[in-house]
Amino acid sequence: MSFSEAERTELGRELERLHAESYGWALACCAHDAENAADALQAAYVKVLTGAARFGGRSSLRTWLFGVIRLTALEEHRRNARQRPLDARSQNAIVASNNLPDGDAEIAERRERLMNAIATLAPRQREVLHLVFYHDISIAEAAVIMGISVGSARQHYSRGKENLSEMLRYERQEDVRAR
Amino acid sequence: MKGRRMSVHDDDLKTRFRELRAHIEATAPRFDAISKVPSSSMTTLAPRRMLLRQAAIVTLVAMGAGSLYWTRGYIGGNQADLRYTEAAIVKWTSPTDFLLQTPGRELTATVPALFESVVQPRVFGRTHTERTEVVR
Repeated sequence: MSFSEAERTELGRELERLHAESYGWALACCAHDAENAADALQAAYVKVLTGAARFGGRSSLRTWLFGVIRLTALEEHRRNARQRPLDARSQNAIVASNNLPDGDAEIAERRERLMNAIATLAPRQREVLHLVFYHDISIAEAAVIMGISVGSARQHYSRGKENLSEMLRYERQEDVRAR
Repeated sequence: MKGRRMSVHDDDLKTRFRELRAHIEATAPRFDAISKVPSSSMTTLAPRRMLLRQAAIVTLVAMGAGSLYWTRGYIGGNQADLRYTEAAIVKWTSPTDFLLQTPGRELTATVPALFESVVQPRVFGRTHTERTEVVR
């Protein structure tokens, strides 16, 4: 079902308002590979703007949009897994991280440490922690985005937080020993 | 965070994620660059369904017209041909028809009258039909 011009304009405005957050979520869904994240986000926007994915109003627009982005990223990942070898994807992630401009070396280091620690987590733990801490979303809303029960989301959240804290504490101790 | 007690760990994680977010949002590609929907997607996604629907309708109409044309001879064709066809079907006999001349075949080939028995016993030497005629 196609949109009217006014509907499409309004939808476009909402997508633009949420764009920065959407990109952050797309990055999280694509293991911080900037190229894959941009592809996944564009594919999600196409779905939304052409009516292939329709907002039903059962949740907030952001929650619904994040669900679309997550599923689209999964589809793109499966498609890319057949076309590109794993090494190339890892290189994309590393290159994207290093090429980003940065003013404060200490903050950059903390950020790098956080991304390395997040990368060691199980996918569901990674997702729920990103949604809760990065996007300031409740666990209940995160459960809707991830398509799991609230109880499961809480479990992934508590285990993920424990693992992440442990990783960060371990890295801090390593730093202290190195100095 | 909504409705949760913040621990030291939570504060630390929140700060780290906030730093990460500030960095990512500062370097995010522009919305215009990513939201450009290829014209092929806009023109084919919805009309694709329309094309399939139209193709289905055309196919059904073609099938209906084809079946009408095929049965034209039986519906509105040449009456003479129709009569000839009917007569041919009625008059046609199989070369092996004699094999079907079984005893009592006439019982299955005719429809009996209401008060006429298919079995005609001879009562007092006369059939039911003969007795009826005598009574009259």
